[in-house]
Amino acid sequence: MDNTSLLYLVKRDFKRERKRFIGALWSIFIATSLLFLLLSLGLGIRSYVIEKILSRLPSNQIIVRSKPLDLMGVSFSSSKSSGLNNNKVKEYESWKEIKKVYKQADAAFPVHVYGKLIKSYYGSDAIIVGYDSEYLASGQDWEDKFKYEPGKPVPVVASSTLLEIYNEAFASANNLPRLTEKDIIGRELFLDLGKNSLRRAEDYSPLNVKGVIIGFSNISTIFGASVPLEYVLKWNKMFGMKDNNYSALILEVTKPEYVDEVVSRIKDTGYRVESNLELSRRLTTLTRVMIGILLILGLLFLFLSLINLVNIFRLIVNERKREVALFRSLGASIKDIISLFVLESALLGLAGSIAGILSGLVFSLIAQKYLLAALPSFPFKPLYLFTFSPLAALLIIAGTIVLCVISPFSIFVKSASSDPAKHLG
Amino acid sequence: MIELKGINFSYSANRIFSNLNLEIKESCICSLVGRSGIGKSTFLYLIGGLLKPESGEVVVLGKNLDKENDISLSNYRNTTVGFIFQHFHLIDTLTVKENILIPHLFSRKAAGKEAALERLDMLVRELKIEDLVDRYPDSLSGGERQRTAIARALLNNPQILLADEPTGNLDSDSTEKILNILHAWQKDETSKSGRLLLMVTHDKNIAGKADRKLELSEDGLRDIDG
Ligand SMILES: Nc1ncnc2c1ncn2[C@@H]1O[C@H](COP(=O)(O)OP(=O)(O)O)[C@@H](O)[C@H]1O
Ligand SMILES: [Mg+2]
Repeated sequence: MDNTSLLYLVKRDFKRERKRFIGALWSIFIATSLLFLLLSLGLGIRSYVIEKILSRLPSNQIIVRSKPLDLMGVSFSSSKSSGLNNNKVKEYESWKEIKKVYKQADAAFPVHVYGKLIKSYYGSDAIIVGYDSEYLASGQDWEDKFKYEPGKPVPVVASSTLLEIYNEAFASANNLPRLTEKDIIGRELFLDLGKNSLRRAEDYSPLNVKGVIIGFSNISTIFGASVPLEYVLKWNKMFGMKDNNYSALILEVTKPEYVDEVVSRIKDTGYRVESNLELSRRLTTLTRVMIGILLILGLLFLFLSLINLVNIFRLIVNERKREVALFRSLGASIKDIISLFVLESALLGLAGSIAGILSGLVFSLIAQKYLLAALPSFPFKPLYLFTFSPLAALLIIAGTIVLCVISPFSIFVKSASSDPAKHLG
Repeated sequence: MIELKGINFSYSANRIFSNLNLEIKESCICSLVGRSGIGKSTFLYLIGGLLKPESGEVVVLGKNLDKENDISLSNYRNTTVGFIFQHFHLIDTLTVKENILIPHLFSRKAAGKEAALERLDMLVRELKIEDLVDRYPDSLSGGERQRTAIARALLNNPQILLADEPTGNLDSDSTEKILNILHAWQKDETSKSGRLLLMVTHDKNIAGKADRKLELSEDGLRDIDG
């Protein structure tokens, strides 16, 4: 049978089975539409997690901290005798799995920060953390400003997370203007070292230093200020710290595969070790599971529509027994008959899934617009709910066509190869 | 032209033929009678390549049908043999013309639509149904329907016509006409190689007019006289 004849017969069947085929199309349409919508939602969640969370958690880094001393239920995370000193840095640097060791030192004295915002002065007790310039600043456009330069205002890096929280939660609730990074960069602020609203460092007189906000970072401590490491080391000495210990070392491994091994090795030496890998893994697994659940839900709808399709073809094949037998007696091969049915079901799958995907796209865009508008603003509020993947769309179309052909295939084969004598009489 | 050798056939447990043998050497009109349910239609389907015997050989025009695959058997049904049925088996949703053209749909020859349409024109004129081509089968008389079915069977110019009680549903007037058509087809001098009309019938009269008369019974096939 040539293509012209095949198309002629298919066209005739579509005319004749209009009602049933519309029923089949409708269910395929609904199913693929939902499938695409759910899958796009899953992919949307995934890109949100990747963009907002995983990108802030570099998975080849390990943070080593000294174990907190636990004295009668009060824990101190002081850098006293942490053992994280330059010798330790050298030791870690000699490991072949470790590419780079960065240092972090927390201020061991109370701090109060204040500055002028809009018209009035605002202040807050804060944490000051010193970071290796290379660690915090590399790749940032304020890289060359994050340096230890005595006599100049201390370069301060603020947390972009804090800014987001301020804008989405605090500013709107208190009728304050929203602020962009640009609004804040370059502003002066003052650091009261040695005292805050709760306590004062004993034996040492407080010190007031001037600082300037040079930029924002994801890594930077949320409720505090990040400054170049050297400042904190210097100030800690001024406030009585004898040994030059660090509060944390950040190890960058050469390959993420080494993380687990290095973590367990360091844990055995009595340090507290954090790596993003575990968290990243857990988040990745979680998003995968989520996508999986949404996908299964969508596939369930597709499954139902396929049952419908199979039932429709079962009826059709049953009604066409005589016609199939006649066609066979007039020269149709088993393959001809199967091709006819296969083309019909494939066309149903194609038309249904294309329409379904288009409507899923339109519907989710509309839903996205209204849902996002209806949601109150909050920190890390997503800008979109759905991520549309052309590959996913193509896979759904191809998959639907294949399933539409495979599901009723045994019915087709049975019909095509059934004994014509039975139905010709 | 046709040779059956030691045919055994059954529908699951229902044995129809045991060691059936037959040879039809020359082109002729051959009639087949036998009680209802004895297996006459089954016999035609075996020769028409719609059924395969459990054992034995069906050789038609030198071709052993058991050895053919489905495609070449389909081709054989499409071009070498033509089927005519008691119940016509026209498709109600197709016009007379479309019904007649069905074998062309399944044709694997390069011959195009033009040739098929030409052949159709000739056939409907010969069968005197040229005015009916755009009508649907349910508006036709029994005789007209059977003539449509004959045109369909002859579209691809077969050498063998297998007719399963072709007049079983017709009045005597139409029966006469249809028989004349079939006989004329078989006797047609213009056909290069001889034609074979193998016709199952209940009617003793019709059977009697055949060149060769066969009877199918529980004991198998045998030639009958008179
Ligand atoms: N497809 C089939 N499956 C099972 N039994 C069948 C089938 N077709 C025919 N039969 C049985 O085989 C026997 C012969 O049928 P058939 O060849 O149609 O007889 P006839 O044409 O001589 O009346 C009958 O008993 C019939 O019921
Ligand atoms: Mg019969």
